[in-house]
Amino acid sequence: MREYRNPFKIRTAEQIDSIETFLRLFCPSTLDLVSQDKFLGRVEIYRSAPGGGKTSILKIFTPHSLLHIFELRENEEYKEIYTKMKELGVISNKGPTLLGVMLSCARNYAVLEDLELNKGQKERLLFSLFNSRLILAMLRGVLFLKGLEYPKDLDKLTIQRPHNVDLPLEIPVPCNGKELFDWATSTEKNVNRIIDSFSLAQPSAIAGHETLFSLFLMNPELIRYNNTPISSSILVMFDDFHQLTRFQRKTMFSTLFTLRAPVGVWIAERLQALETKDLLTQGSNMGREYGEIITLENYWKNASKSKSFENTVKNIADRRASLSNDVQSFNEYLQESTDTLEWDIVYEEAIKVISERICGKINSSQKYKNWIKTVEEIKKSDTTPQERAIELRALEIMVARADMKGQLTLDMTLLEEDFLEKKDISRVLSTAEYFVSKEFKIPYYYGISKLSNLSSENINQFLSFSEEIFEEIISARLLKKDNKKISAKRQEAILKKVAKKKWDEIPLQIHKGRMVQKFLEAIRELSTWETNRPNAPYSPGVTGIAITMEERDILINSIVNNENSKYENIAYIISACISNNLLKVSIDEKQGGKKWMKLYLNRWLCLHFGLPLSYGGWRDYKISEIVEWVEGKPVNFKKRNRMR
Amino acid sequence: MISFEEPLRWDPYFIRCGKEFETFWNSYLLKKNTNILYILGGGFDPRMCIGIYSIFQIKGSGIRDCMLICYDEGSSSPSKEHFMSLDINKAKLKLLIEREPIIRKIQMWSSESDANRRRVGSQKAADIFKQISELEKYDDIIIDISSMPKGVYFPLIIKVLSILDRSHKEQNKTPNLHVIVSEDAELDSRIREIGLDENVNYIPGFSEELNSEATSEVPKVWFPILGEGKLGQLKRIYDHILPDEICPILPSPSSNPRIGDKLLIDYRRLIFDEWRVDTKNIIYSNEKNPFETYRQLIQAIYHYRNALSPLSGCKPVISAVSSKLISLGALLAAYDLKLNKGINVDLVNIEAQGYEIIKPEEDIPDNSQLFTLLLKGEDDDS
Repeated sequence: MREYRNPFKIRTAEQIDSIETFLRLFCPSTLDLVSQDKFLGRVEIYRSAPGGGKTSILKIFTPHSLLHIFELRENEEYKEIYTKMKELGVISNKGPTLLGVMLSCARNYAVLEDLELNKGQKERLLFSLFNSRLILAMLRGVLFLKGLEYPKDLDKLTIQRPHNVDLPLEIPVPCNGKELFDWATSTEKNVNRIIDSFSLAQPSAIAGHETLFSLFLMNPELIRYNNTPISSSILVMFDDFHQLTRFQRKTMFSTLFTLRAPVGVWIAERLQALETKDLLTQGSNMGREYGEIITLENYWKNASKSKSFENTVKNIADRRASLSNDVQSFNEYLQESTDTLEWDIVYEEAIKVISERICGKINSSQKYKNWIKTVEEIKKSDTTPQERAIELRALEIMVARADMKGQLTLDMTLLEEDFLEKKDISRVLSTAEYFVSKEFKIPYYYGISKLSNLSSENINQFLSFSEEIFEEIISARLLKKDNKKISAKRQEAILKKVAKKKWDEIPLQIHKGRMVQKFLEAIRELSTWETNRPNAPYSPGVTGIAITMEERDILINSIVNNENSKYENIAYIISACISNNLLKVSIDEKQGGKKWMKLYLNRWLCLHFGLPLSYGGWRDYKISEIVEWVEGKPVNFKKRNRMR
Repeated sequence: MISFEEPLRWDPYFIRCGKEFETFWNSYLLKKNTNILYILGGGFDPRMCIGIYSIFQIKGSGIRDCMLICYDEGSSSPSKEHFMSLDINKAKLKLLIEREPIIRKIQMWSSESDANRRRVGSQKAADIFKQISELEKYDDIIIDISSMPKGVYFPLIIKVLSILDRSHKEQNKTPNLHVIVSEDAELDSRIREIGLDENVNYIPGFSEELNSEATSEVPKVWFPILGEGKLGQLKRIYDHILPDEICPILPSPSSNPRIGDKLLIDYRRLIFDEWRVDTKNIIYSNEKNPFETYRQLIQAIYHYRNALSPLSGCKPVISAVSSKLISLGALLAAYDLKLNKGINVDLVNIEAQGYEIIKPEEDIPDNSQLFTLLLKGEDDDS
């Protein structure tokens, strides 16, 4: 087998390996958002930010994936996903029952808009391309599903003409697979030639197709092998739908809703934070023509899912490490705690400083005298210095909170309950850990959990950080430091260096990159201020902002209708941040009687800005305030907070 | 089976530089009446007027028309920062020509808003000329690419060449086509691209292979021609193509003898760790002779088509993320293969939203060297 110096740098693998890798990476619980009714004749729309998993949702239902899952069903690693696929009815005891036909829209469809043709011609060519490519993808998928050779065995398939459907006469059905393949190939080639022609196309060559009739051929009863339908059902999946032009998307949506072809259609597109719903709502109804739009980010935020992601990346890391000659496990080389002799001294100092601070505050007040006892109990407990330091810091936060509440008559029972409430305690302890790290310069960003958090549920992002850690591991081995773990301090230094490099690349990679940086730095400033408030009101910390959905509409109108052009810049910056994975977005989030669009910093930005890595804390702002940030006007967050 | 011995369009070829550039043009323009259309791009690059000055100051007889291609990049273009340099260049141009230039403004972006816009400049550049009647009154068409982005000069040259070739088949006598470029590696290293496009672009006419569903199983072979400071571009193009085989082309020999080593060091992790390129796949090509690059590319593409014929051949893809001169080799190879040998090659590019000059406070010394290439000549039988 080929030797890899640093297998974490590999972004693609050989074909067979990549399917297995894909399946290993795929979290089976993702399938919980898919139900049996999603395979019926309705359009289902999946949205996510880049790297959010929308393509994976589609890819898992392709013949390659389903066959692999079926073949490996006895393997412990694949049992869960096999079971879920059976529950969905797409795999049976005999094999896959669904033919998934997946087509990417990130091809030369948008170029049609730039040709010197009229609107009708462009539309017909668009349908021609989609029809021919859908049929080609379908034929290829069928052969793969049936274990036949592509394209050699195409003539073993028969395709019938659907009843009561007005198909163009040029389509050779009824025919065999080879004849249909030849027709589709020729159609695709003709359109490609028009696109790639150096001269104006003859009008006669631009006949094209009137509609997306290929969907009516996506009927298992019509496609047969050995006189048997090739599957129980067919699912058509369009990936990267956002790559079509606005006009093309509108045309496709309208056609899909009007045709109501008896085949399930899934659409995966990027979550465009600033896009109108017009494209969907004109003449169509949610529930009838299309199902509820699913935004994957909202799904992944669930805590159990993030643990699953951590397990997945651990698995990926160990598997990649084992591809190198010398290192078999990635995780075992990472120091996972600062609960070591090296840092005990620092923690002991922290305990001293924090307890003196607390006592200094509470000694002077009768109301807290019972808490002095708590301080002493913590100091004398037999937990580790790290744990004691964190507990004391958490206590200090609670004292600050009590102070803020201005409680003159202290109800100790209430306070004790406040302190002991499980929901709050883990957040406060998390904040305390962060505060202790910052104040006493103890590493905070290290270990596989934090590395997983840094990835923002994105495998490529995980690899971009872990590849540098792995460089350190192999360097250490070269220097014969075989058994030495990479210290927490060293891990943090490496991760910060990677984050800095990503930050420096922003102006080079993104249009108006410097403005984007200004915007992000403003979020950093407000997040830092809010997070480090003594009472930690938004523990474990603020790492994002939110605007109301009404203000979001103003931003959209600035783009679409050129209204309020002063907001057009901000609208672009927010869009750029999302499409470049700098911000994580979720929309229609209900809180406080309003609906919000939340924008969280990508976790690597939190590392770069020295912020905690957990989600949850955000602050609302008006778009007029955001305009001021980008214009460089200083913002007094303290004053703003007092005014609210 | 494709033979290695298929005649090459540009064999023999014609290229002159430096003093030989001057000698050639002096003797060519002084010996007879010659009507010239000189096409150049209106940009901030200080090399914009060097070529036209060299040609127009020769006192030959004949029409001397100038076409200036201006880029409409929208109100938010970062290049607007260089408006002073552009104005200086335009003023210089005005002094050099007798008649007002023919202005062709090309829209670089679609009309949608910032968030949804697409790059359309390449298609618009290809649409500047549509038929021979726009060119036939000239004896020589000169396209000066010194101040043109790749997304403009690639489709422009290809379109003009295809119009001339088509016309030649019908009526024999057509204008000659020259390409001029002012090369200065040091200056190139001080101009940095900022704000990469998110999506790659195909040069119009060369996009069929990667977009074909019918041949999606055929292996993709990618030939990136490497240049300095293009890590982001290479990564994005790679992510789009996902090639099965990669043959990087290194400029060597070069005016900087260490550039080949430098590029390998700069891109070491990308090429060897991520892409896992075999060192045997690296092609070394003369930075100053695009015809050599052209020849090497055609040979390599023939080789892969033959080797991969049991897998139905291959889909060749070329990306020139390099200096202009060596990039022309990619253009010539793709054009010759497609139009003369029926082999499709995709040309994949990624543009920048703007440019900045590193250390603008420092003077830019003039180390530029002029090159002239003849792409279609009087004795051309194509």
